[in-house]
Amino acid sequence: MTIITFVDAWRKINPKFEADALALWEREGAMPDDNEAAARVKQLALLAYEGDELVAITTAHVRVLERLRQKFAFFRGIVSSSHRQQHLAISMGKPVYDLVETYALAHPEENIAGLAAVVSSPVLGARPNPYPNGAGFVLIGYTPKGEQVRVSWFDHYRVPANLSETFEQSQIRLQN
Amino acid sequence: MAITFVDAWRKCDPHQEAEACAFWARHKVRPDDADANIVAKQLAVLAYDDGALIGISTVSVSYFDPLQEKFGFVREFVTSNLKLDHINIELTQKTLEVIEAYAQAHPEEELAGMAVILKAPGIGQRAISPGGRLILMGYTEQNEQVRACWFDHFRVKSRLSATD
Repeated sequence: MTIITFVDAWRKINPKFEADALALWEREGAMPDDNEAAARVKQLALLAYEGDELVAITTAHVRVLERLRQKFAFFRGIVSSSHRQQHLAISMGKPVYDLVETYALAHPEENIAGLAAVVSSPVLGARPNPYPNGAGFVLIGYTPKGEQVRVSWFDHYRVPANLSETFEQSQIRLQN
Repeated sequence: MAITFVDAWRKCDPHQEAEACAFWARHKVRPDDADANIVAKQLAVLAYDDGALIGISTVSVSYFDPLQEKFGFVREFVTSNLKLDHINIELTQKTLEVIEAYAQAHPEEELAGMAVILKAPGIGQRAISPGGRLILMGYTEQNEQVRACWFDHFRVKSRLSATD
């Protein structure tokens, strides 16, 4: 029986996590180039280890989701080819939500509104509402390529009260 | 105070429609009779306080571009009264129940969910509305919040081809 352990790597500076992640991405041919890998390694969120072997990676990249005019942590995951049948990436969604939410609560100055994901698989996402026991992702639209965009708002987050306020204006107000 | 809600969705009840038109005229919330008569065909739920009509929800079904499905867009009017503040929330909830039950019974209409556009400044700071179903999903060109919920039974088709 294999035991998978989840490790919190969010906003941690840990050379071992980074080296393990780079090795897994390289093994799986998952990164188009070194620049992309160097950027993604700074976005590590939750890692799954089987013993000493890293078998799954999730990253969270914080950026503005234009449609909602707020900053979201974009969730991505990769599972090593040897562990693809274990629904690891899905089971990591809720723990990633929890750890980024905890971080966002402790760092209100970063204005992270929730978790977001772009679903690139045509066989996933028939149910637009959140899946049970998942991260709470609800379908809010599509990319130009037809990928689903899903978000899960953090309960503590409050959107700007002024409906005519732009995102940039709200940031200035929140900083003052 | 005994608040009751009456399902008026797709009932085509002349009495309900006339009552709604008179209510709107009394409160000057519809510009003219012709408009009121059209909107009366979209009646969803009527709210009564001890038999007196105090609130109306209407639903207009249209294609919602960002979600690429048909949604029922809700509008509500409740008489202005501090004691009735909570009625708006209850009316929205009842409307959701009525439209969702209808959509489930009529899958051929492919009604995916319900949406509401928040026109009042200063409300809507919580991304998830009271009741937990209407979620902030975008903005209109006028910067009004668009909140929507998917009906739980509804399923979407992939916009990706299997070869993507």
